[in-house]
Amino acid sequence: MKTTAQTTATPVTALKDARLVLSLAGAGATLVFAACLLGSTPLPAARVLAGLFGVGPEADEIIVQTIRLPRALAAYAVGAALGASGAALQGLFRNPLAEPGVLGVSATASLFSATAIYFGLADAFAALTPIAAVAGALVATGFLSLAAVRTRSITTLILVGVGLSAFAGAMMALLLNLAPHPFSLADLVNWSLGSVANRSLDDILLAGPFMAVGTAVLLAYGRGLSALALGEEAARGIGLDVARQRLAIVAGAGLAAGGSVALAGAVGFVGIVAPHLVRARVDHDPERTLVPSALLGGAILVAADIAIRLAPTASELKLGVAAALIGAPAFVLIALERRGVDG
Amino acid sequence: MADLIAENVSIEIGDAAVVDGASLPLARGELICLLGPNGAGKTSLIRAMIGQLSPTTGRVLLDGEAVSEMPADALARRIAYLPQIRPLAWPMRARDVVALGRFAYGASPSRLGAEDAAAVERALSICGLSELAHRRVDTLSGGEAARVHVARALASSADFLIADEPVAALDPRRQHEVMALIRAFAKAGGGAICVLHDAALAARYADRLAFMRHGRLLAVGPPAETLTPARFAEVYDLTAEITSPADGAGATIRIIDIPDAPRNEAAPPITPS
Repeated sequence: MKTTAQTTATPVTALKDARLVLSLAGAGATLVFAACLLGSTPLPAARVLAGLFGVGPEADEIIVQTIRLPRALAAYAVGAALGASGAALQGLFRNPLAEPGVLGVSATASLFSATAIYFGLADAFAALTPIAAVAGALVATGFLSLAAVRTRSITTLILVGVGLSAFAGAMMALLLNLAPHPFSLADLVNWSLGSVANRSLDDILLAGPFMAVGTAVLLAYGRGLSALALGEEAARGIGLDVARQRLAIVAGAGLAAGGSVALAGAVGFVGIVAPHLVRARVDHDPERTLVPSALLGGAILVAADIAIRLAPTASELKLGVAAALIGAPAFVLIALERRGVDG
Repeated sequence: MADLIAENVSIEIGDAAVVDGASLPLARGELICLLGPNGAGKTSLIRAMIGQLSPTTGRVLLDGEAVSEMPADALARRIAYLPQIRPLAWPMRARDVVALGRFAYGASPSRLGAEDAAAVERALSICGLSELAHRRVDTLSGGEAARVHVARALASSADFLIADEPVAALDPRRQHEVMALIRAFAKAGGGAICVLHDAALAARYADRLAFMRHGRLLAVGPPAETLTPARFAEVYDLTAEITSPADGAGATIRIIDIPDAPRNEAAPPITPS
């Protein structure tokens, strides 16, 4: 496919990308439907389908539309937001290991939202949880981009992210130690391990706008990510406003990752694995990596959420744990693959 | 009339004056090679000329308009810049890298208008890259990759090209290939400044040489007039014998002595042969 003579790149590229996007979207929709088949009440596929479209018995409709579908959609939305944020942060920092989880963005966001819950603020005003999570994510991404201007070394920057992650983790542990009663302890554990169990449509509607706006900003600034492949100096030379680009990606990734934490807590590594799998299929063009990464990220998390429910464990695994079990080894492999380029 | 003019440019970073009162007019159709030792201020001067560094005093005018006032994309459509080549963050295809030269026109590698695509094809063809266009840049040799960057600059259709050591780390033949491309750009009416370390290479291709040391421009002029043993000693602290062929193209430079250099007894002495 790559060796055929091309008069202009664009039509062939566009066709290839459309095919990739459609197949990923199809896989995502199939997985969401498959997730709706799972639950304590066995429902055959036909009844699930009827329930989805509201043409079956009311009980089926309630089960599918208020319990199963929101959970699957939450997993999909979180995966998509993290996939897009990962791809965008990798483009900005010019490194395939950048991701909200690794850089400490998710940990800081979950620390902020956990703090909001801990002090009972979330009970007073429901929207405070996602707002706190987004604020935490923006604080972390903003801090990282300031550090990026200062250090110029991406390796240093990732180490800064690791430090940020550790600090947020320690603060979280401190909150756990001080938790007044076991119930809030369980709550806080949920935040730091990540889960989409028992999410309602209201939860999605609360966090969704942050993820949607953030992802839209990232897509709007995708072109600049391709320019940054040349390095900041050359990117400026071809006409990129680098400061504005950095601000947009930091804000977009902060909103998207913060929204995802508000909905599911800290789920790591999706933002690394999805873009990594996509990249070779889009000729390593950072702009073209964004949409497929989002779609694949969504599909991966829905698949992972299905897997933890099928797994024969006494109590259900947390989604974040499953994501890390697959994602962390992938992270190590990608790191080892890098050939001595300190960018 | 000169069209890209650095006027009495001084740049201070902290307390240090990295560029000190440099005036360099660049006309369309000429190639200036900027020479000088490491730390002479060459890169700072050209970065000021493309608007990436603000002069502390003095100004840079592009056809009479201050470059510091121009937005990045408008500037990029008129001046192409090749910084010292660093590895790309991602192994993109050669064509996609060249296509980034159209960024200032609103294009991106996956979205090229007809005019953008034509400019990209033209640049690829000029640089002899048409056959390699679909290849990932990490599979190209150093010389091919350097040509990809030149093609990226040419694709911008800018009138001016500022290149910072475009032949660094290339073998002699690839150095000449890249310089010939930049020479051809000037011949076609473009104005180019090229930072080089090889004075003989510079003398062969440049219309004018500019010599810089300690932030000052010591001399600007045709190679035959400016490239002298006295200048060589002044700029590089090297004693050299310089012969120019009768036709005036190029020069042969033979280093005779390295005054005050740290001596290694085991190293062979430099003696005129």
